[in-house]
Amino acid sequence: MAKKEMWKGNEAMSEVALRAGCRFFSGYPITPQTPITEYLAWRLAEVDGVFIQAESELAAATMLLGASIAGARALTATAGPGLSLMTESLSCLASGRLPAVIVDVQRGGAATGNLQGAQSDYNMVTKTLGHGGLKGLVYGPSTVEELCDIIYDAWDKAEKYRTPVFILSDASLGQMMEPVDIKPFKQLDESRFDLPYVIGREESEKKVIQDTPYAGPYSTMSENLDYNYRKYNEMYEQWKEDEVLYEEYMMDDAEYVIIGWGMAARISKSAIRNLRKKGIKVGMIRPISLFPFPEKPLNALDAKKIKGILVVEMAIPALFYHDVKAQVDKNIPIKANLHCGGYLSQVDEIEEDILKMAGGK
Amino acid sequence: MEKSYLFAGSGGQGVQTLGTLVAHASNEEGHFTTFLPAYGGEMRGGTSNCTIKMADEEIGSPEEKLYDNVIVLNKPSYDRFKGRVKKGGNLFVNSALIEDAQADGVNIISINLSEAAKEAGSDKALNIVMYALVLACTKDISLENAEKVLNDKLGKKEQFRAINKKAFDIGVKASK
Repeated sequence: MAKKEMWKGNEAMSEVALRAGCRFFSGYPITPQTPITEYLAWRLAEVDGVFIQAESELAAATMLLGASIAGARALTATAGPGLSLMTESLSCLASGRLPAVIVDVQRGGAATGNLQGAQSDYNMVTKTLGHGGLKGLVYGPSTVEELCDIIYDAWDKAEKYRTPVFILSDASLGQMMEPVDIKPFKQLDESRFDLPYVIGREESEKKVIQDTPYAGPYSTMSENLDYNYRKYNEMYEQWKEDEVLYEEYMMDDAEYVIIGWGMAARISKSAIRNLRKKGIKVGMIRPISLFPFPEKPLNALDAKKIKGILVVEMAIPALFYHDVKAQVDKNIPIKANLHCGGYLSQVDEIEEDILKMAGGK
Repeated sequence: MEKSYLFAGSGGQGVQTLGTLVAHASNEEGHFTTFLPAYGGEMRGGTSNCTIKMADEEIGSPEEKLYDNVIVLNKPSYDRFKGRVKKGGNLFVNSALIEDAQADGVNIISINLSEAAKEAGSDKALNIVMYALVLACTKDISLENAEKVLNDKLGKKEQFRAINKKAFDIGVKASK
């Protein structure tokens, strides 16, 4: 294997998106997402792709919609208030079950907030894409390499299930440099041309993007929505069986469990190593897919063996914490270690919280 | 092995370039590496800083409360970060802008970067002098790899390559 190269998260992710077949990007620059827009502005031109700097995030997400229907592997990226502006089109993507990839480089706080990393868009993305209660696959990578791995396969998933795929990055992951193995260009399968939403082999070939017995996905007929959404929901339930991703770290003999995702989780690994040196048996469960949520490994935590759970999260009030709490045995004490507004989780505070749980050992 | 570095200076002194070079050199050395720039208001003036970690296993947190090495290029950065060095760690200071640096229990390594850069042939080369001095002192990265990365990343133009080479040698010499 060639030596890994140092790449910033935003740029690495953009290059890998291209190699995964992405040939359309519409976006509007907003810190800390801007390097993605900047990179793809010149790089997409080199591979005969389409780059559009839209007039707003709403327009960018709506262009994404069009590109997706036309069959392009399409991407948009945003942050903070830009995500709010995109929600109208996100619900449209979810309702049409259109394949596209959206990256949110999360920043601190609500409204303007600030420019540092945070995890506070978790609920907004995992609970529903826009209004209407529909979903997409949602991932929360914790390293630059994992961010690249996820986006490399994102369109394969999007096309397999005909669904939007959402990636929750953040300012620190986007700006951070780490060694990455930049993967080769994917050869897209010829069978793509037979997929319902993809532009056909012939220019005149017409396609129907939704095979319901009624009108298309945007019909207002109750029977149609009810029929479609029941089918969608079956798919979401099936994702729990087939698409759950998580990492278990030092869990074999763990008595205390840290549960976190993204940056908060990787920071927790430093605390776990320090605590292990002090003889504290602590491990971690790290959800990588945030929807579907890894319920089973959390359900399986045994109150006879596990003495405490610490949820580490960069959001105040807690968001992810409540999803964890709903899945774990009520007899296991559970606490949260929270930061927000651009402060990253702190190793020494995580250690202190676990030590307190362990009775000051 | 896990080593941490914090680089800080004023915008324009080349702190991010300095940190980026160290990060690439660390990767060249085969270490797991993270580079985290301070992102936000700093980009629009004021102090600029970045943190680097290198290790022989996967890196968790990309930042630390206390660092093995803190490198400060101007007075505001010195004031802000002098207390962030581990006991027995190194505090590298630019004595052209920081007079009488003091810190308990840490090694202070001073160099007048203005003079050194002038000697190398360009005021802008001050970050390259510090790059060489830091890596020559800490020995976390071989000087061969440090120089290779310098040439790979900043060696495209002949006239700069010569200045960088001189600045690098001045930094190495100052470590002895």
